[in-house]
Amino acid sequence: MDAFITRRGGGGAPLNFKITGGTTAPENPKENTIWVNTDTEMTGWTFSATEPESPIEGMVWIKTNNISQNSFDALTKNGLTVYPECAVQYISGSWDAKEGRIYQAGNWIELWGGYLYRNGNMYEYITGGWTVYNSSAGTGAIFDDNIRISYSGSSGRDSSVYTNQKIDFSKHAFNTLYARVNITYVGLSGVTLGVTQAAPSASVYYNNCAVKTSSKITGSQVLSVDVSSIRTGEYYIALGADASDAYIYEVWME
Amino acid sequence: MAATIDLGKVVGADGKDSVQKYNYSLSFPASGWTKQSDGSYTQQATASGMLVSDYAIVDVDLSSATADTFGDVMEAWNAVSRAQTQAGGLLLTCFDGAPEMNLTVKAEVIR
Amino acid sequence: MTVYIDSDFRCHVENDGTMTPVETDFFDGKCNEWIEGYRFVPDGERWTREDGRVFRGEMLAPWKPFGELDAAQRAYERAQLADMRAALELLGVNADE
Repeated sequence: MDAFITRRGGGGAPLNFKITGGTTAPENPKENTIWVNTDTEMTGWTFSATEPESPIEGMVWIKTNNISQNSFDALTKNGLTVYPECAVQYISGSWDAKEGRIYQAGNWIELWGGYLYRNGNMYEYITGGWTVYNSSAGTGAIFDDNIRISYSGSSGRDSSVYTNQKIDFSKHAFNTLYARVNITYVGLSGVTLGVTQAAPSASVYYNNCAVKTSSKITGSQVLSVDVSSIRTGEYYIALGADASDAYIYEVWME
Repeated sequence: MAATIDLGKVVGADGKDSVQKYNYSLSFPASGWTKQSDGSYTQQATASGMLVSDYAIVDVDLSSATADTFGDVMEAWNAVSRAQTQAGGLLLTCFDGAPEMNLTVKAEVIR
Repeated sequence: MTVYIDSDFRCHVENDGTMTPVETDFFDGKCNEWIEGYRFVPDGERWTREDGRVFRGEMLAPWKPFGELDAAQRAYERAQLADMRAALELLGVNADE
């Protein structure tokens, strides 16, 4: 027979989520539990799109954006939708990227909004960073807030940039890969956005991509390619210029 | 002037003219919750003598709570959605996540 | 090589009479199952995915689960390697030399 339960609603938190740290994920998590994989004591936490001022040692900053697939209502009584992107922790004077996961619909989902590069932010905890590869005449380079792929010469005119580590496509269900670029000169095969398991090289267009798209149009634009049929395996994300010049500002998946 | 009120004889639910009160202190460790197919969590503690037909009042034991731990204890207690008397036990069910700390639950049955 | 694309830009190794031929070296060395699991949107064309997203050519992307295509291609390459080894043996050449 059902019993009478006392103290209903008293002392409970109005928050619709919980943030917890530690080296093992909580065993019986509630919906929207965020777990930060860390062996450094979590002294506090904050959700913010911008870097917190005056953080204390051990503080966890859940970066937010407006595109995260793992959004949730922060309050039990609606309102205040939060879009968590990733987790970093303030340790010895700098922000360390930490593995963060959120428990939703019975699964632990890695906190990642799909960004791979944005105006200088390389999202190292996902990409491992980005590296430029140049053929003999390639002049690609990484700058503070963009990446250039370009050439200067009459042969060996390939220039590319690859993620340093492969992205595991089985962990997410993104359908489209995007890159916001400004193509300032087009030659031969133009500028290519690709997904490949082949080792990085100065060429993307000819590098055995699983998926690729190429543009031979100059100007600011967003390249996009359908990745909805790639649900397994690990792949580099790459952009390459074949006798062409371009600046890369953002690379992301949705 | 003090007054007394004669309540007459108290008759138990089974028609007998005696009433028994049973108090239980039951442990529900954080590790003891079992996830069910519908996503809920359940745990049953042994309560010797308890009957399915019993009506119980259940409460969390706050005797060890402090100002620092009270919020956590209440959060854990509020995770409990339902309490049901069983033959020889008390079954707790949580529909949205199980308590992350050990709970001591007091149950009182009057029969 | 020449492949043939249908009205949904899916690739085929043979033309049923309604398809558009396209030249590309993207499929060089690939087995038929791999080729026919792909979509090729030529430069200048646009393809609309069923969720409404529009993609501009040139784009090459699988429409079948890529894991299946990859498995088929690996099996194809293993079979080719076995054929080559058998041929070398026939010629009396030790394939491991």
